[in-house]
Amino acid sequence: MTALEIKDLNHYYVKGKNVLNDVNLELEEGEILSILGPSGCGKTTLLRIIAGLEKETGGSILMKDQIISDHFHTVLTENRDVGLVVQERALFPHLTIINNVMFGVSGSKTERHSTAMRLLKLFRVDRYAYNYPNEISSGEQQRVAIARAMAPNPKILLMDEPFGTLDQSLTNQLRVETRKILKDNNITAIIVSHDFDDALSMSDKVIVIEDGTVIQSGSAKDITHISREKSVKFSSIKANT
Amino acid sequence: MKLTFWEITPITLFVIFIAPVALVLYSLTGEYSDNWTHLYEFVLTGYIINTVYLVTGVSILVSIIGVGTAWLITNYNFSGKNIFEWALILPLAVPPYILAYTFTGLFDTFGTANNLIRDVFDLGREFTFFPKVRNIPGAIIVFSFTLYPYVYLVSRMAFINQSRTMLEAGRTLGLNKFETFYKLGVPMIRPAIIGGLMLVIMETISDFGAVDHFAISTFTTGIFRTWYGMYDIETAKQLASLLLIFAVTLILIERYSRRNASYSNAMSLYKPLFLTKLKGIPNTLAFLICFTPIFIGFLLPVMELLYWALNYKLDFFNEKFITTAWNTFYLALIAAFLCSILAVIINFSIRYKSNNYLKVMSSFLTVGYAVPGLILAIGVMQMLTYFDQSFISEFSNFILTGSVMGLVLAYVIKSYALSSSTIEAGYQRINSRVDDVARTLKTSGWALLAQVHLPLLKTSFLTSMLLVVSEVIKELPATLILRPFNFDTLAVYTYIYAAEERMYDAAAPSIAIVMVGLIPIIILTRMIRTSRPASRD
Repeated sequence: MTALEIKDLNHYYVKGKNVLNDVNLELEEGEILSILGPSGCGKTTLLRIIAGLEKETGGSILMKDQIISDHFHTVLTENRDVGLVVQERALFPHLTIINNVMFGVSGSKTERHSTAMRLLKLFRVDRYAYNYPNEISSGEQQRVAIARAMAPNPKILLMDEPFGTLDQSLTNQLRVETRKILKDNNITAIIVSHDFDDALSMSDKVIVIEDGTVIQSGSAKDITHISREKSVKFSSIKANT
Repeated sequence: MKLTFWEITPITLFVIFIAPVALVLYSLTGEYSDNWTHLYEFVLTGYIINTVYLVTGVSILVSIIGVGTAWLITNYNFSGKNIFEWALILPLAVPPYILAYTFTGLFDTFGTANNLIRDVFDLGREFTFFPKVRNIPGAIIVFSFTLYPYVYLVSRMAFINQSRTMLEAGRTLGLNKFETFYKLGVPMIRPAIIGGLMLVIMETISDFGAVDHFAISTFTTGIFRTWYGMYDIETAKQLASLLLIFAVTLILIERYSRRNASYSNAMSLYKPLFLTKLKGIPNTLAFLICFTPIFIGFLLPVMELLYWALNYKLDFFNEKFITTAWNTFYLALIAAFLCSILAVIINFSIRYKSNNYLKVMSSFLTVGYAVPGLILAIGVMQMLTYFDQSFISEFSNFILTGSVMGLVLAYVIKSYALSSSTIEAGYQRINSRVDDVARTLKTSGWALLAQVHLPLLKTSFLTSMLLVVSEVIKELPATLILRPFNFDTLAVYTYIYAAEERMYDAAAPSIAIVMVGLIPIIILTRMIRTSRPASRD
């Protein structure tokens, strides 16, 4: 079943200067998609539009064949059933780790607690359940942020540069762990990154965006072969950042 | 477009807050009397020059005291630091006019201080040791040492939230401790300092008691003289309108100056600051830097007032006094709570709706702070009278006019800027991505406000309450005009006695104002010290 379909999506902040041009993509349930591109190419805007945090200026978005946003109506973020992980983690500093993860979960307190603990165990941070976010390391914070986003069982998990501030060895470890958990739980996910390695090691599908336009798309394996000159150009941008 | 609570509330408040001010501004369209011509030709330039001198001097001195002490308290351990941490806000309990009265009592030719010097050194009556204080430098000192806590409080809050990592980065780039302070620490909290400074400037330009006592001609003394001396309320309102335009210009400049400023800790990488222990001369210097403003702004006037009160009036503590103190206290708490909750709702609306119109409207809501209390009171009274006559007169004569409601409304309009700037500064420290994530976790509107923002704004909310309570307790002119019949506050007592230069009689209610003002300051300061959500950020 198609988890997400985006048709002819356009977006601009200033008329005539599009930040996204005719973006089209399809994502099957349980698939992991990476959106790659240099800073300012529009990839985060695309993610925010999927989350409903911004309203596109043209096109439509469907989730499980239901229109969630088009010219005529928009489903609010809080009703879209999406999970969001951001580079800054944005954990609620006044809540303990367990309360952060329980935050978006519905049901009785026992059910919420058991869901949260299960996820914390999955991400191996259950021993910090009653600590505050500032009392754990950035890698552990990122695990908690992903666990929190997964806890309400969203239709799609959106991750914006999830490993952007972590060191390389931690990033490698988290990539493997996160992909395994996403796959084991059949979670559809979109990862926005400027890092080729994120895309190649975690995703089933990859799209590359430059200046708001999708310039490459395909499987993670294919993307390294298609349009080699574009990839080289992008790699050089990446190397400079 | 369907309007929600988050749009309707700011619009409604905008109308209520602007109406009294608009009534005052409307006077500019009326006729200009001979009094206006006289003022314009002979005295207006003097009013402007004196006001500018005052504002400039106070801004410089207040910045030095407020930011300097906040930096010391946040970054260093030195003798008395734990006491200074809360004692530095004690001068908030002393209105500038009370410090002005005690200053003249102390430093006039035959004041307590000069008499003491003459007695100790056996000098003649013609000898005067302390310079005259009834002048602009004297007024600058009075305003600076009573108003610096506004800058201290916001700077301290901002410094607490500064991450150690940023300052350490500065040190590794070759900055010494002092350079870290003025090249990194201060610029990073510049918007907070400007916010606090704006409150100080607004207080300074709208004060009447202190400048009148020092016989300095400013806009406010001009307005009062025109009204009470010339009995020309229209010209007084026209003068007030000019002051209002000046204040609005300042607000716009401030907004423009920090239009691109973003000073939230973008990453959740906050690390609390390490405190450096000071020893020897630096320890003594830090002690003196923090002790001096407390001494001049609080201890000195309180000692002088106690001396007067104990020598001349001991029977002030009676039933009437308790009723008056209670009136003052509950009015202040109601106004403070309303101001703070409204500031939270308005700032949340702006953030939640990302609406520029709401942002512009919010700027206008703070304008009441720049309007002299008396003029605002007239505007509120005219508005309430109109409302009574238009909608309620069928049932009764006057319900709103002369009621506690009118008084609370005036307090809220007057003090809203204090709450707004404090809550706004608090909001700027909450990363907007927190909202994004919360919304994907099905938390929006009231739930987002109650479950995420309010706990993170606890310190700002308490600070806002503190600022408004101490402001309302000191408020004089609006209370005099709008108080219900036979309803007194402590400020009314002080005003009546001080206006007649009966300083010994004014001492007891003045002390009471200071004492009543101290209670919420002490309670709320303790709560601020123990809450500090930012340290967990």
